[in-house]
Amino acid sequence: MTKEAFLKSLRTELTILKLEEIDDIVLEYESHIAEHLANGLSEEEAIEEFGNFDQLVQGILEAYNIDKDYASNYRKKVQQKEKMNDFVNKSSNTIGDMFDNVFDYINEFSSKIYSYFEKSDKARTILILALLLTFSIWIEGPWILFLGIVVMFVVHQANKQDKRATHSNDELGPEKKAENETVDGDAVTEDSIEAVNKNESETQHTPKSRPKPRRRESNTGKHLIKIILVTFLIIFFIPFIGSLFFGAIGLGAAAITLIFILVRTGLSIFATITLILIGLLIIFVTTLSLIIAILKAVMK
Amino acid sequence: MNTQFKKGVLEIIVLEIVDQSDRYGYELITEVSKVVDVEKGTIYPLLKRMTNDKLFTTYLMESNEGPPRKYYKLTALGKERLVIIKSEWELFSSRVNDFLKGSANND
Repeated sequence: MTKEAFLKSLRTELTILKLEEIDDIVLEYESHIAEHLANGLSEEEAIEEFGNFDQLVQGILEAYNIDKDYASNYRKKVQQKEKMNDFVNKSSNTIGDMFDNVFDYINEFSSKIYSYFEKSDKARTILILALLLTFSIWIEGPWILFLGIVVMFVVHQANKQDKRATHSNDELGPEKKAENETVDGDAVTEDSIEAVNKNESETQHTPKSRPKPRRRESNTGKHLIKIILVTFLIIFFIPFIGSLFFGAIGLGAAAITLIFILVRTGLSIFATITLILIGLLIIFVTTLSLIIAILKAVMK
Repeated sequence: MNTQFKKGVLEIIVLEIVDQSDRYGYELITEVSKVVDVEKGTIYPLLKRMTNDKLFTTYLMESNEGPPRKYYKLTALGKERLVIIKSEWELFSSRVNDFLKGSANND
């Protein structure tokens, strides 16, 4: 056993003692080994002369009237705790480092932008415009996503209703079917709904026609969807109305990007969402960098 | 030598050596080894116990050989203890010797 290993395991075994006591004991053995070396003997010989390690530990613990098993149980508990703490510390350090790196990058990037645009007032104006642009994308992006999902949901529901309506038409005569198709083909307006209602009242007299309740359900559903769609559009367009010119530009840019990704590339939904998230992250980082750069410019 | 004997007399020897002058661990063990052959590891726990029992006080002094040396100094309580334990030992050993001589004479 080397000196380091010996002193280390001695420390470990004496965990139960006060730190100053442990230091005191370890110092004594350390200095004994040093004296041994000074007298021309080896480290290993000095440690061998201490005899059986476990008995040595037991002897020391007895000097404090501490039971050996109690001490070793205590040591095990402490070691487990330390392991847990180590794990927690390490993982939190890793996460902390990650954030540090991101913020370092943002800081560096904003400094670069700042030093690049520092020279003239014109450059500073461009910087502010760029910030507004990215910032508006950042604000509008999630709105578009949300609105897109809502519209897609509503369209999906409407298609479902359409299918059901077409299905019910199969049971009508060919003339009625044609009549209904023209109604379905129309944009859903109050007029067309009235027309459908009229149609219904006519079909009531025809014995072959579908039972009234299901037809009515289908049209009420459509009506409801229309109301919901309009309400949603009004509610969610209020922020857009409030947003300024750059908001509109941002909206357009984000919408084009979204449509491009969805339609042109034919990626899976998962891939699209991942791309969008990455995009949002990039926008977020860029925006933060620009804000910091502007703050630096303003504070100077 | 029988380890049980050693354990019993070790305390007297250590007290006596420290009574002569203040000693640091390595020196003390060397002195003890001149009297009885003992495992070095057992002396430090003994010194620790005796220090905890307030028979010794300790102080550190710098050394050229490495870490500072810890010196042991006998306390008043330690001196008392030495006197008591010495007389106990004398009584004990003379009785044992007398007994052994007596049984030898009877042979």
